[in-house]
Amino acid sequence: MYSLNNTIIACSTNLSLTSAIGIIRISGENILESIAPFISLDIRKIKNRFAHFIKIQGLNKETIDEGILLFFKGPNSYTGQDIVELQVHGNPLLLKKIIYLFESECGFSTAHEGEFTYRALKNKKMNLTQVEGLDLLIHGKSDYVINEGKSLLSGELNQLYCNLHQHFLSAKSSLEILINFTEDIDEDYAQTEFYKSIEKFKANLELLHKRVSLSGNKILKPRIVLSGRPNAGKSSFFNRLLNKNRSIVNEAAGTTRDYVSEGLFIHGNEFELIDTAGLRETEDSIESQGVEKAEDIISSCFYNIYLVDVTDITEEDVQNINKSNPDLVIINKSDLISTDSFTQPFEDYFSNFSTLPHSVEQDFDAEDFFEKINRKFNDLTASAPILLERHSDIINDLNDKIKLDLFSSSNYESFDAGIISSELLIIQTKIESLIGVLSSDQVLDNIFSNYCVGK
Amino acid sequence: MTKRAVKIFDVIVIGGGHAGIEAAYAASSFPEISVALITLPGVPIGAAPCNPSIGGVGKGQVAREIDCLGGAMGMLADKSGIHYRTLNTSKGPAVYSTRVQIDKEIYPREALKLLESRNNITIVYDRVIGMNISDTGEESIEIVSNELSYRSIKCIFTLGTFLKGLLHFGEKTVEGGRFHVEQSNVKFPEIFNRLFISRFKTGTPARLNKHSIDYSELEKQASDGETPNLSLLSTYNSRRLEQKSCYLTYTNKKTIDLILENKERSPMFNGQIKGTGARYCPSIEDKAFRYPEKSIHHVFIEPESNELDTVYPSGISTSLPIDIQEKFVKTIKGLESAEILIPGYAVEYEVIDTSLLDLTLSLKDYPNIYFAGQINGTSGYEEAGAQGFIAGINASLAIQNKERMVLSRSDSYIGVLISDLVTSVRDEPYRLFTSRVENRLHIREDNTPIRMLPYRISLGLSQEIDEILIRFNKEADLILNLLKNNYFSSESSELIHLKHSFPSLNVPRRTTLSEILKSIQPEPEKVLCLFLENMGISIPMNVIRAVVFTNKYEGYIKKSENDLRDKERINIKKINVQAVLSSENISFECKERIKRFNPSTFGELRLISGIRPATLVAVAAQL
Repeated sequence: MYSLNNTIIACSTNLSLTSAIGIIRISGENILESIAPFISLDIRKIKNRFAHFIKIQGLNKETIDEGILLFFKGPNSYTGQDIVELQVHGNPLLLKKIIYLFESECGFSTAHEGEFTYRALKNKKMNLTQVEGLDLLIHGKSDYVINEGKSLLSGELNQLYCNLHQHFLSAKSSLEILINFTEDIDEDYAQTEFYKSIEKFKANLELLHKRVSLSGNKILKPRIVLSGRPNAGKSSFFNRLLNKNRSIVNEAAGTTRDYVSEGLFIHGNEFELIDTAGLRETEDSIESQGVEKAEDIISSCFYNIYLVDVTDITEEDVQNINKSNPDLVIINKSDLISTDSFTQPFEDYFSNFSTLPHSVEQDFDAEDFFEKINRKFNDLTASAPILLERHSDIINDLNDKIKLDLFSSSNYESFDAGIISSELLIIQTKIESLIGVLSSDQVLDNIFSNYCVGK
Repeated sequence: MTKRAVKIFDVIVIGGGHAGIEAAYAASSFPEISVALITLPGVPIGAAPCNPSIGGVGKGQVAREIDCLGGAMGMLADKSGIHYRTLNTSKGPAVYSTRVQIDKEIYPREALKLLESRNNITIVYDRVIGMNISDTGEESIEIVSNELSYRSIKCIFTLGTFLKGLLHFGEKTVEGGRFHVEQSNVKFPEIFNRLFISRFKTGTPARLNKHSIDYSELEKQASDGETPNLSLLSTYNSRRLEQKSCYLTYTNKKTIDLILENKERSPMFNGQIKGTGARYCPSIEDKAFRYPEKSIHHVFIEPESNELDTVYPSGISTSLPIDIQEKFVKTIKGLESAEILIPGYAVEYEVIDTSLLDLTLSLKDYPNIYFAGQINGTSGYEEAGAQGFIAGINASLAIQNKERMVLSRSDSYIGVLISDLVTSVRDEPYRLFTSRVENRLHIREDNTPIRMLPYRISLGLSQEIDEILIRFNKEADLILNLLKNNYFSSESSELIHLKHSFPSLNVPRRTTLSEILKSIQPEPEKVLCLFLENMGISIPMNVIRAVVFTNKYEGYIKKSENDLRDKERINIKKINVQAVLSSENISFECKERIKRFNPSTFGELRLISGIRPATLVAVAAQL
């Protein structure tokens, strides 16, 4: 993993867009001494947590830029090390020039993604769960995700995990009492205590397990997918929605080779709207791959919309709908045929689905449509799902272990204390990794490579 | 010091308790090594000053390991056994444990006989007063008594609870190693001062006159004839003593109230006793003051000897004054007119810092000096015996320049015991719980001969125990092969035969005997036994049990080994104690404990009791 000894530097604001202010952050030891030759202020005058107006000077004392210097003395800083923050003008060229100056003259290295937070974790300014929370807070696309990020950051969820750990420990120790001390205590009493504590542990786990849902990823990256046969009107519907609520800064947006996607704001939450046109309509040899990919996107999406051309509903449409079970069927080109003269054989069929008529020729009540989406999002988040895959995986594992290994097996009925305690040891490893005790290098590597954590 | 006559040995063992006996016996396994056991005059060796029993949960495993390694304890217990019992029979074979009540008069006599049977052991009755280390000569250690001087290459101290021992009978304190036996006051060279860092406390209940107890109302536990001998060297004929029963009674509210009323007279709670006692071996005062709401505690009346009038009331160890003892004992059902023959008392004694020992129990700085037994802060005869064996065998191996003998944590209780002792400092007496063993499914009583064979072979000796171990392992291999490699279906004639005796036997598909046995509940060993008999194969029951239980746990052991490997990866990581101590996210109490134990790896940190999960998280994040 990353080293902690070198001094790292990075631009904390956007380096690819011009803005009024740009912020450069440096973390390490003895930073002030290193940068002294390049700032106009005597470093002995720099006070912890005060704003100082300075000029940044090049090798020949020429002024590169001027701005504010803030100094945070470690360990009372974000990373636990000394931090210098420079607030200068937000021209990317200027920012790059300053960073280059410090790198080449002071020996600072460019921070890797998340390296400041990595240092915070290593210096125990944050725990693993908090780091994961920070990621949600920074990248969250909805109030729910941002709130969960805050709850992780403040340690609320971690407290629940610690409680689970506590219950586990009492179950484990009551088993040890049962094995080692039944002559001191009463055999039946010890047995009852053991079952009681296991039940309490199970109940606690059950509460957490209820919050683990398959929709974690759907909430983190909520995608609305449009599918349908060629010329069903997907693109026009796509554009119509975007005209109303386009989100300009969606990172994932843009036309890819596979599909078209754009950001869409609905009731304060940001969704990714995907048109699968490119996927289904290719006629080349890799078409089957495209179809597979489309099915993948549809099955993992948050909201699945199927469009039919009401003038041309075919057997294929019915098959597609059966297969993907959409949240909403858009009856497109509804102006061409009045609803009551719906193509007869399919009328009953569509009554099983939530439908909405649409036509480019007519006004479209987008609010009604957005409300449907909003409702589903609220439903998904109502059970307060645990979003982080690492956590859900462990909780699922624990639940399986309790059900399959500990309770269904004959061990429990015929009571083999050796086997139960050996299973409990494995369970312990899992719980410890949940609260972050066992944050082995693999876990850390995984977290820092999958998330762009913090600044 | 030259005034005295000098006697020279290779190994000198000081102290004739359970550690001392094993140390002398193990060291003398090599006929060319001369061994002296120096013990107090007029005091029998191998006494049982507390529970008159060998074995128990975890301890039975240790006693069997000592036996298979060639030790004495198992043989002596079988020769003096007056009550056998298998504990935890309802909890699966992994935690089965044997306990033998011994006749505490016969055990010391048998111990003496056994040691005397070895020509290279000299038993010396003398009082050691000092020890010196000289730089010259091979026998550089000098042991001094009032009249004599003894020299040796290696010296093993097994002083038990005797070193500066102090007995508490209520307000009255008496110097002593145990009741009516003097303390030891060996003067060590000043450089050894740093060894002695704390005093521990242990206690024992009053001994009652067995004729003054009304047994009619008590629950009787008869000796279990089916419990196997502790020693592989014992035969059916070794168990020749008349078997006695134990009786179970309970304390009640009156008992507890009486104790609560006399708090200021309890040395444990009025500040008189400074030494630390074990939480797991609580005196009746501990139970009363810590759990005042619980008044019913078990009291087992255990036989001590056919030759003595005393019985041992297990569960009411105490250091209260004798008049209070007499009162509270009489509140217990069946003990209303019980007569106290020997009062209960507590003993405080010096213990050494075992983190200064290596895995052979010799001092890292003075490798010719060994410490074993209760002086190392452990409790229990079995723990003491195991340490004595390890010190004794290694002293002799070292003299002969042979590879040292270290048992692994992953395949023996003794390995766990020794590694726990030398890798940490304890703040209470150490008892070997089964939970200290990571690999509990593998380290069982039944497979001890299989687990110990490689260690025994490494000694290169050829004694009776070696033959027995080799035969046991051969037979076990044979049957395990048979289990894995032969397929049967419900039509197989062998199984049809079995079905006559076990009608519930259900074999849905053609499979191995191994799989069939795994699905049988309970007592698959009986099925295998009959199966083999039907085939005309005669295998001893203890081998069959080892095979069936090994077969049963095989899959689970593999699974937990994977988990252990993952844990080990983080446990071996070095931690920076200074960084931990300066962290703001660790509580003051945790820091105090960390400072005291100074762990070097994450695994050691986890072993410290009272460390909070939050602290583990904080430290793990820094790894």
